[in-house]
Amino acid sequence: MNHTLTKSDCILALGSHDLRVADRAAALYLQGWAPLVIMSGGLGNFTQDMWTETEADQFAAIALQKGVPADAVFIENRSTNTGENILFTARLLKEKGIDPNSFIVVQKPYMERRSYATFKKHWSDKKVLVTSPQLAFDEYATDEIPLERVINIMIGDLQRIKYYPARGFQIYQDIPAEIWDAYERLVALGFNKHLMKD
Amino acid sequence: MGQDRNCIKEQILGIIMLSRFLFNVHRQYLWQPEYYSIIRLQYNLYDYRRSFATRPPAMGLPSHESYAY
Repeated sequence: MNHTLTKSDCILALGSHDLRVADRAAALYLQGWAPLVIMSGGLGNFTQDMWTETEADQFAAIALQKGVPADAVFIENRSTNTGENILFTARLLKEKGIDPNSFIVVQKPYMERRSYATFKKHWSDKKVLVTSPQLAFDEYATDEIPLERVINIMIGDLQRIKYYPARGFQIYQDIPAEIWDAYERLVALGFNKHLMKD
Repeated sequence: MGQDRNCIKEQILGIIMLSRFLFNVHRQYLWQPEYYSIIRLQYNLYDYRRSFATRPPAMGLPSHESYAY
């Protein structure tokens, strides 16, 4: 979304199968953008078949390896989707008696929009900026996250950006007509492995 | 083969459109049809190396613009 970062109260890394998100969150802390990092994520849609250690615990371990002090890292490791990332993090902070006003949400590059829209739906009174590993599309795929999988996930995410607001999961975001047209053509051509089931 | 080429062109154009919308880091070369990244994308998606080893199909890519807000 090309948000310009400003100093904030808290960095919130949303867990996933992409550990580069943890690298980005740690780097932001070490650069002084916020004094607290929350790693959020249990075992989700993709990681439940890949890992036994939760996303948040793996993200936290990476942050500590990078030099983030342990007392600056909170772990929320029960959420299984983006909505729960936000809701369970809010609950964790409330339990700790902390009420940050501004957040830098860190997510995979193609999930910035979904993360922003979900955060604003559930936590509309907070300031939020979103960022992600600074990678262009053609730099993103890896052996573990191959290109065809990335494309299928992107297409599924765009579908969720369009339909989740009506289900109460996200705020509405405008999708330009040519982007939706591209989505429909790609689905027709067989990129349908990450579409919603209903 | 012509139908395959059109299919590939349509897929790559669509993928690039989506990446323009969803990614916030853009390299200008991705919009240049002659650039290797397009060829690489084709290679990764399909094993048509022999057909496209020397020349990618004309893409007619839209000009680069941001969907940031």
